[in-house]
Amino acid sequence: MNESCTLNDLVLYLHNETTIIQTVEVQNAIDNDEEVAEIFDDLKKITGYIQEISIRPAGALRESILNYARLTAGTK
Amino acid sequence: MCKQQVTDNELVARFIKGEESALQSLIIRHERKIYTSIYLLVKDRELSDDIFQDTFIKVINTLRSGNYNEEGKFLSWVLRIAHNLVIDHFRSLKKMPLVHDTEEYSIFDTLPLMDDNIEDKIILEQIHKQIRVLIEELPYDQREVVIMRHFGNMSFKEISEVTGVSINTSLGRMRYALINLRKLIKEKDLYLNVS
Repeated sequence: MNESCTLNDLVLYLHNETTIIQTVEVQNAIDNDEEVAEIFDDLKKITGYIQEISIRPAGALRESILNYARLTAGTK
Repeated sequence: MCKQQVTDNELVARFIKGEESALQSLIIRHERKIYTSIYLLVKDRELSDDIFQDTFIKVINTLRSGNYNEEGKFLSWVLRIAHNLVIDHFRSLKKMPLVHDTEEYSIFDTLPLMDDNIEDKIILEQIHKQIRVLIEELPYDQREVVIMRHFGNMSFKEISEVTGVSINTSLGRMRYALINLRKLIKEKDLYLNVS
């Protein structure tokens, strides 16, 4: 890895949690170091796919929760 | 003209005033992220159902008791409740979860896809399944950070507060998780691109 850009910096940058100075340094490393650019590209793809994972609960669960809300309305 | 979406805070306020449909809207809006987070932690459908229901029972009771003051981060708050219930469950078993493989793919469905190309859809669905299985292979503490950051939109600072570790530890866990996933993807020769 680039000396001015650690993996922690890259992870923070990926999650938009870098300071302005860190942002400039990481972007510079991505632009000028092929290894950093390749790692960043892979991590960006992976996190993009992670966020698309979606498991839908059964509709009956929602109904059951709403029933609980109805039954307990005014009792708290 | 786009219709502006009612905020979570507005829905919470409406529910506290007795408007039940506001709760329904909140559940519909967030159920997939909350349920996915629980499932990825416990890796069991029935247990996920129970924890999902218990989470919302706590949500309902807390909102009605007037103890909600999360200032706008409803989803993060609900995920923290779910996370605590998951931890309680594992504590009751007196063990933290073991990493194990599962072949149960059929219960999953991915987000509605915008691409009309069927081949691309199939590839994308495969990628989602593969990534999900790889996440399940991660150690619990790494999985936990990934879920909180990517499904709960929590900052590393917030994650560190919830999990009781330093920000650097949270960040390190995420780094290990992503590097591990990258390594696994390369080892298994998975291809992550859709044309």
